[in-house]
Amino acid sequence: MIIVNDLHKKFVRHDKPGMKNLGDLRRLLGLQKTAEQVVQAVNGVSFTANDGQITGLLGANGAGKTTTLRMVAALLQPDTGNVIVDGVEVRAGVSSTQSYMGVLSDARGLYPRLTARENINYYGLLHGLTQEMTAHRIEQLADRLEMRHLLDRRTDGFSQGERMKTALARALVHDPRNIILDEPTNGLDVVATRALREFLRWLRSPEGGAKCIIFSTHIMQEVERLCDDVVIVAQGRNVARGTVQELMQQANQTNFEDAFVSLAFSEQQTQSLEDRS
Amino acid sequence: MNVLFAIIRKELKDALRDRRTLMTALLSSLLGAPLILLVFSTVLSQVESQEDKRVVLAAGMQYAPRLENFILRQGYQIKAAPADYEAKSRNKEIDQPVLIIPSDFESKIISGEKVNLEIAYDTSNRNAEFGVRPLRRLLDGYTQELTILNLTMRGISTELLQLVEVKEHYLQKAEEHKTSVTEMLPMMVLMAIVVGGMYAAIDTTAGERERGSLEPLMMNPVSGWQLAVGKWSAVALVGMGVVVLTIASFFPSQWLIRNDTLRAEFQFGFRDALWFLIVLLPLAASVAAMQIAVALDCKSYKEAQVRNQIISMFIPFVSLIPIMFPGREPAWFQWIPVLAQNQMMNQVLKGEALNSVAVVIALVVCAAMTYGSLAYIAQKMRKVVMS
Repeated sequence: MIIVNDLHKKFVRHDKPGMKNLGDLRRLLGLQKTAEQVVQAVNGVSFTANDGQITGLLGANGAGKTTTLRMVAALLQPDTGNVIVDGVEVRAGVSSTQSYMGVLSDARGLYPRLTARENINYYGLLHGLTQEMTAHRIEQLADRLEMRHLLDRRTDGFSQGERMKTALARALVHDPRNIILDEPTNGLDVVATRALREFLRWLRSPEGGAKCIIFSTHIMQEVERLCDDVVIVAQGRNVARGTVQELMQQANQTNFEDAFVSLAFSEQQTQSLEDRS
Repeated sequence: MNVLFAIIRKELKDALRDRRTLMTALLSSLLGAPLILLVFSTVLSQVESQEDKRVVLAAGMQYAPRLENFILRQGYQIKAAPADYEAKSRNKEIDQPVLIIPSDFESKIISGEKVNLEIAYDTSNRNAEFGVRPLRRLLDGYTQELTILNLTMRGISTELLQLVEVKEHYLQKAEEHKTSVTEMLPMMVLMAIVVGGMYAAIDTTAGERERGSLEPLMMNPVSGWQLAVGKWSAVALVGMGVVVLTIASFFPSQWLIRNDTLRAEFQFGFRDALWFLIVLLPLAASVAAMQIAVALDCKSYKEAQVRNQIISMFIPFVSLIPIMFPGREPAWFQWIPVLAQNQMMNQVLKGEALNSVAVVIALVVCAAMTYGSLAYIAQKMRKVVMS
C-alpha cells in the first residue's frame, strides 16, 4: 500500500543569460543575479493506492504525474509532504523502500550490449537475490510476458514493445509488492498494449500476488479498462478521485473523456478566475 | 559483497563488448611503443649511415688537387656529382650534399686570397641534410691543415694560435646510458593510460545517463559507495589492462629497432617491466577514478568526452615540467602525480635504481586521489538523477 500525503515540489530554473543586451552581459559575468523561473510542478497531490488494486493517475501533459511518481520512487525529495510505502517513509536517495517497489519510470534505458536475460539478471542480483532465484524469476516473467524468444538477444535493436517487456521484467524481478508504472503504454501498438493490460490484471489478482499498482497515463481508454481507482491530476494537484463510474457521475457526463475534461479543466478555469479576483 | 561483484562483472562485460572502448584500449596500448621505437631507430640509422658513408660528392674537384689529396688521405672516396645535381637532390635521387668547387680555387689559395666553397643540399631532402655535418668537419680539417702549413712556413708556432684548449669532460654515471629516444617512451605510456580507460569511464557514467539506464539503476537498493566502487573497479581493471599490454608490447617492440646503438640503449628486461608495473598500476587506478568523477555529472557522452580530453591534454604538459627546472630536480616532483611516474620510468630506463621512498610517496598520492574521487562519486552518484 502506498499513501501519498500532500506532496509539493517546485523547480527553480536558472535562465541561461543570452547576449542580447548589457544586462545579460552583467549576468554572465556574475555581477547581477540570473533570472530565476519557479515552476510549481506538484502543488498538493494526495491519494492512497491499495493492495490488489490498480490506481490510475490521469492527467494532461505537464500536469505533474511524472514528478509525483518520481517522488514516490525516491528519485526526488518533495519540498513538503511525504510518501509512505508499506508503512515506511520514502526518503529520496535512500534505498530503504526500494526493495518493496518495482518502478518502470519514463527513462527505461536498457544496456544495449547485454542480452535481455543479462539485463534482468543484473537487477535481480542488485536486489540481493541469489543467482538461482533470479534465474527462476526470469523464467517465470518470460512466460508471463511472452518474451522467452527475446531472452538471449542483445537489447540493441529491440522494438518499443520488446524494450518495454524487458524493462518491466527488470523492474519486477524481485517480485515487489508495489508497482509503479509511468506511462507504460507510450509507443506501444494495440497488441502490446493488450498484452500489458492482461499482465497488469494478473498482477492485481490474488494469483498474481494482489499487488498495489500505480499507473500514470493520459489515455482515457487505459483508465476506463483497467483502473479500479482514478486520481485526476491537473496543474500539480489532484482535482478528483473515485472509480470511473463515480467520476462520470460527479461530472454529470456519460462519456469518461468528457468527464475528465470537465473535471480537469473546469477546476483550472475556476482557479484562474480566483487568481484574477 | 555479492552486489559489488555483480556491478563489477556487469560493467566489465559491458565495457569489453563495447567496440569503441576495446579499440581505444588496444590501439593506445599496443601501437605506441612499437611505432615510436621503429620511427626513432630508422631516423637514427639514417644519421649514422651518412656518417659512415665516407664518400664525398663533388662538382669541380679537378680545380682543387690539393683538397682532393687531403680528402683521399682521410680515407674518403670522391665521386663526381652529376651535372643536374640540383634537380636530382630535389627529387631525392641523390641522398648526399654536393660540394661545389669554383674553377679559381687553387690559384686563389696559392695567392693567399679568401675563397668560397659551397655545399649544396635541399632542406627537404633529409638524408642529404644529415650528410652536411660530416662534410663540414672534413672541410674544416682541410682548412686547419692549410693554416698550420702556412704558419709553419712563416716560422710561427701553431701553439700560439691556440693557447687555450677546451676539452669537454662528461660527468656521466657509469651505468647511465645515453638516452634521448627513450625519454619519449614514458610519455607515450602515460598517454596510453589516460586514453585507454577513458571511454570505459565515460560509458559507465554519462553514457548510462544518456541511454536512460542510470535512473532505473537507482531504483535498486544499492548504495552510492557500492556503485562508485563497482564502476571504478571495472574501469580501473580496463586501465590496468592497458598498462600491462603496453609494457608487454615493449618486448616485441625491441625486435623492430633497426639500429644497433638504440638497441644497446633500450635494454628492457623483465625487472624493468616489473618496476614499470609497480609505478604505473596505482596511477592507472587513480586516473580511472578521476575520469569517472569528471564524467559523472555530464548529461551527454559528448560533454564527458570533451572534459576528459582536456584532462588528457595536460599529460604531455606535465611531463614537460622538468624542462623548466634544469639541473637538480626539486623534491616536490615526487608528490605530483604523472610527473613522479614520468621521472621514475626515466630512471628505470636509464638503469638507475628507484628510490623506495619515492615509490611509496607516489603510491600514497595515488591512493589519496582515488579515495577522494570515489568519495565524490559516492555522494554524487544518486544525486545526478535527482534533478
